[in-house]
Amino acid sequence: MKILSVDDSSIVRKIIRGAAEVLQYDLLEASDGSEALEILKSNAKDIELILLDWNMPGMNGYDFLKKVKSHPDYKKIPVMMVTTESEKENIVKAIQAGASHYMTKPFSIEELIKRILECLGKGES
Amino acid sequence: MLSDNYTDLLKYFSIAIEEVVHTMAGFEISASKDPSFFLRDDSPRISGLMLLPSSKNAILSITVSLESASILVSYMTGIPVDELKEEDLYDGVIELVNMIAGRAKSLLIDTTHSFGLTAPFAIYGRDYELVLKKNVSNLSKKYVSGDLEIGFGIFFM
Repeated sequence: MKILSVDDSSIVRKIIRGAAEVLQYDLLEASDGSEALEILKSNAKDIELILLDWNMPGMNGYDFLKKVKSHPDYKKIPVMMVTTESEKENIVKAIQAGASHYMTKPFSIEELIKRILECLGKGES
Repeated sequence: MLSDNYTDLLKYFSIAIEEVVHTMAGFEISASKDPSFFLRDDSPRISGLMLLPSSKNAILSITVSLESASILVSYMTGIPVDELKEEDLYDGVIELVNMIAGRAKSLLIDTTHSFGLTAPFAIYGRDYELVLKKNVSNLSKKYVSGDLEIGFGIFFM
């Protein structure tokens, strides 16, 4: 069982790794959308959730989200945005593009775990 | 002399930095009575910076000693201090300034202040100071929690 973390911050990916380990998920990591698409090519069947930052160099999170949600092999993978972008219009934009959940930074590890479980259908909404 | 507007701005950034440090690392920080922005000694330090484009552009900065950065990043990630690499510390400080800017921006949504977010970056070295030209408006504070010191500043261009 795998989670894909897409964030240009290695520290954020390390924090997410801690949460994934608690939940006994393997974590795949990408520092931008292009790298994440490469990872999806050979791992899509095993990935249960994508945690996605918005502002990244190269392919940003929004563009990556649109690509994922238009690809027949990836579009059913739930995506939670994990980002500093908190403006309502951006939240709406991401949800309309297919993100199923949205979490703003900063976040505690407890909140992250709770939200991951919600995304996976294993927690309270 | 800063207008009341900018003093008000400092209030929101103060909330943001306190929230971010507490949420991510678990530290309750408070403004130091020491009015100096600069850290106590000349030990190696890391400054995380972000340009805030706005009607009055500004640069947001947080500066911590290497030791403080290690403590913060260790608490953020759960990785013991002695297992952290230097790039973890730079990235940690960069991410903190990113979150502080993002949180402040959301707190300021219903006010007259607004700014954009840009790619944060860090500088690292020993015994450097941020030197401003005369009459550049700035808001600066030092935050502390035990031995932890965070120099915080917003410098208006």
